[in-house]
Amino acid sequence: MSDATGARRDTAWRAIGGRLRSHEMYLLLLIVAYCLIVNGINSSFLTMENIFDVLKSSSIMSTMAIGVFVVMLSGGMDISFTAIATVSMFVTVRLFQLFTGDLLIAFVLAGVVGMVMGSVNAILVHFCRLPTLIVTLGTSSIFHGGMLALARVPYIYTVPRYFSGFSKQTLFSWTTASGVTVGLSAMTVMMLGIALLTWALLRYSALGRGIYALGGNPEAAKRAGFNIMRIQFFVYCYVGLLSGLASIQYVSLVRHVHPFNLMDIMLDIIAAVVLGGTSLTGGRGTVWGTLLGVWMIYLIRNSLVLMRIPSYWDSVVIGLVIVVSTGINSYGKILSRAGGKAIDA
Amino acid sequence: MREGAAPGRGTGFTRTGTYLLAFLLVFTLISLLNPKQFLSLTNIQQMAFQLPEFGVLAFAMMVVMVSGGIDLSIISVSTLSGIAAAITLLSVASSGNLDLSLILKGIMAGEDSATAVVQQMPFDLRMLLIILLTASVALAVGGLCGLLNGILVAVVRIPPILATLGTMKLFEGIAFVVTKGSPITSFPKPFLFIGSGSLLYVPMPMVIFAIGAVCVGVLLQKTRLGFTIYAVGMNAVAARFSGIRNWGVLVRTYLVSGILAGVAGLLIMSRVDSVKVGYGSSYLLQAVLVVILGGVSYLGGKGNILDVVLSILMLRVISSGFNIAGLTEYFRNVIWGSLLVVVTAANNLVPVLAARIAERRADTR
Repeated sequence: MSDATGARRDTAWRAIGGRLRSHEMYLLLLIVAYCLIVNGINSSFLTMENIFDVLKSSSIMSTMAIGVFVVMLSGGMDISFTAIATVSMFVTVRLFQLFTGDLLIAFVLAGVVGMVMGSVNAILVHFCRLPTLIVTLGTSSIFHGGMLALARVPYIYTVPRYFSGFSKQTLFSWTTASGVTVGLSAMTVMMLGIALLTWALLRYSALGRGIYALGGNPEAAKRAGFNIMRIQFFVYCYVGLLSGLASIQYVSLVRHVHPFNLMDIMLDIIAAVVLGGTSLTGGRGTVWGTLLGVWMIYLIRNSLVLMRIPSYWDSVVIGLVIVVSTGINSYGKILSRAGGKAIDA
Repeated sequence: MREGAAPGRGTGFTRTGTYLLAFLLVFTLISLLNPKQFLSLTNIQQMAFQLPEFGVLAFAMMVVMVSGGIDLSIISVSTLSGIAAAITLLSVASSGNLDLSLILKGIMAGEDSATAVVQQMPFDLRMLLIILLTASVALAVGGLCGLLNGILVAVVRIPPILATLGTMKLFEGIAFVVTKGSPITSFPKPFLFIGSGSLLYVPMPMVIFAIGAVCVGVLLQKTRLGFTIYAVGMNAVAARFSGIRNWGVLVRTYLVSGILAGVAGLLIMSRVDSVKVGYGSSYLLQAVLVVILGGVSYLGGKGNILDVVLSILMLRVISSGFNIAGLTEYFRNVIWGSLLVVVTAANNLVPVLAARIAERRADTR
């Protein structure tokens, strides 16, 4: 009797210990430590206002990163998602200049446009059996180049007012002692909703388990009876959908459409997903880790100035983060194989 | 997965023959469309001066793809080695020694009179030595970058896509930090001979391109390293069990790729008489495209230099056709992207279909 309870307590402790030693926990500690260091140099960093602002402005990156995370989980790679976002942003806003509409329709339209482009990727990946990097390298320049070639003026400076209204909406807002109104932005809420939905989908639906299975071992997934075609289509359409949604969030924040701005965050997002602990070959990773990865990258990007490091060091730092985080991810796998034990299961 | 694929070496001649035919076909087609402009001396010359830098970059991509990897950092490597070479060249030519403080001050801050003096320097033994030094700096920096890529891929075992994606950003960032984004220009006249001079009516870059092609060809077909690169690319596990040290082969492969990117950097710098972050960025997609067009499998282990050279020539001719037709850069990107997807799909599907047809034939008999 006492033995049984002892054993049960033991396993419970081990589970908690495992959670504490997980990749996500390390990352969280890293973020906290980093924030404290930055705050030590510049004390205007850790304020309520700034924290909520980080949550709000990083939710564009987070939304896209969740999509990219799902693709990488299935063992694929997508570098066309920024092109997809740019095109769906342009198409949607251009149409809304001609016709009246509202925000909800804008989100739906951008999502659908994104999904259409995602399904092109899926067709090429699944039916032509092409490597995902080469497909998305090609479609990225097809989508983006096509938009630029067809649109006579790819810039839009007058965006309908209801777009910018979305980024200003907040939940639970209050006014701080210094007189600044702080609140949880609608963008953050939307992003968290998407994250929760994705988490539930991956954990509890057959489709989600299929994505993990496909990334872990495609042949085994096929033999286990998963519908590979359905999984591939879902994965690439999902990243397209989320890119479309994120692009509307972006428009609502910056209030204009620029054909190149969104293209630059592609590497940051891939770096964030990898930093979040998603296995480079697929099959392992969590939504939670991805969000932490995005916040880490976003903080690095936006705090260099606060730490008085000139902004032209940005690329060096981001490059180093990618190399070091992928390096730890891969080297850990070699070590765990050599030692005969799993480091992060 | 590739049991239906055609064997690479046995049918080498007929394959290359097909490429030659395709090249001639494209060439005549575009000549017929607009013979006056396309076959004009200036257009041919322009092609001959622009092709080599792209061609050498494509070789850098090819070597890595034969080993089963991919190198997305080649453009950044060529930029970084061009910048290192430019700083060496200017500081040694103007002050006689390598003044690294110029990097910190920002090399572009030199007075106009000083740059004019450097530009007008005559060609003598001293200049020859300076040019040799500059060239070796470009190759050395390229080699170092390649070495880093190789270590990341072969020793740390990061998948090549992600390792080189990271170093692409890293090298580009270093180049940006060193120059603060502004161009470095006005090199001594004798140095420009590398990129824009002619040797007995043959453009100098073309000579370097030919030497590069022969070197890469010999390396891949005639040396031990080349043989092992094919072996590792074909089947890494089998290679390891037949006594090849895979990581050593891969490190050397990326080293060679980096050195080739350094050569390309030198060519670009000498042809346009300046270096700047962002030069040549449109070459990345085209380099992947031309290597796959040249019959190199993205799975590794296949491909030969002659086919790749012919594809490079073909791509440049098509590109020149676009120029004459007045297509915008965006529209060209659409075409290159579609070509990449279509060619890869064809490479993938044709052997499968051929095998299926052969099977059906065998069944009816």
